Amino acid sequence: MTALDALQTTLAGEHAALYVYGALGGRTSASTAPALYAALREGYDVHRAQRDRLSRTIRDLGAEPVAAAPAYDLPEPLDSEIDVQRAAQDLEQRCAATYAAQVAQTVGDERRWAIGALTGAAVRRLALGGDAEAFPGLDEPAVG
Amino acid sequence: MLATGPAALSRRGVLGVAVVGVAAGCDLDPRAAEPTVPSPTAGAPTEAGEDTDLRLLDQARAATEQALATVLLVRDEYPRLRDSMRPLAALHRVHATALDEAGRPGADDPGPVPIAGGDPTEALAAVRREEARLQRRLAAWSVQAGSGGFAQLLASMSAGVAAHLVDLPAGP
Repeated sequence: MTALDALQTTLAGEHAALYVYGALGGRTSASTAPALYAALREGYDVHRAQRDRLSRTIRDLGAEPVAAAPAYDLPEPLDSEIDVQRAAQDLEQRCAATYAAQVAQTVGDERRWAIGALTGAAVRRLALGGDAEAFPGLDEPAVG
Repeated sequence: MLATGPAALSRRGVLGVAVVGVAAGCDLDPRAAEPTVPSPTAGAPTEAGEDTDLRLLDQARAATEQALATVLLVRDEYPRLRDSMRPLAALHRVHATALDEAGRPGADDPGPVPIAGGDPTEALAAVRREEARLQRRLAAWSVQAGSGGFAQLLASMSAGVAAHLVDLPAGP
């Protein structure tokens, strides 16, 4: 896998993340769950910026950015605020894994940016009610 | 599916000889079934890169041990901060273990950073400074690493420190 392949894979993941964040936001009330709504809104905005940045980088490398799929499978169930919160935590965990993979495949500024995105995903997961992990983006041993 | 983690790393892994993980995109991604794993040679450093990685490994081990020593000092000296220090102590221990598994164990462990005595607020601030410094250094070492797998480990550790730092209470 080349660095360009890794960027395309990450971009595909960001397309999916945006779709899911949009769906989760649509199931969350700004009035009855303001903290969750705000966290989802922030996550959506960050992932949109990351998608746009990845698209620009890929174009700068002379390639065509991978397009978003028409739709993505949504996590289930999404019947309650807790369901939405867990789905968002899981999404950030997977995004952390995607960026950890990009760290391994890139060098220099692209790796530095991926480290920032990995860190952002790990921290954002806390705002969504998740626990702090010892090894975000990697399988981790239990922290006792 | 998440990436194979630190337990899969070995000294050879640090040197980039072994495949270090099954990375994964979001499995909502229709392309997620495609492997995103470094090939055995994709992240392999040059000989100079190996030397760099071994130096970075030693530095990361020493910095992690120093952060742990600081956390343990604060835990022992400031009973009100004991519970707050527990997750950080656990974090640094598993990070140190991962680094040991990735290469040689640390040599002489450095001591804690100096903390003005008596004031738990200042002690907590000192821990914050030490953790923030560790996070920045791990990220910088990740950028310098020759092996992609080792860079991944350091980046993940940096992100883990950042998350635990956010999780620290605002005051004692």
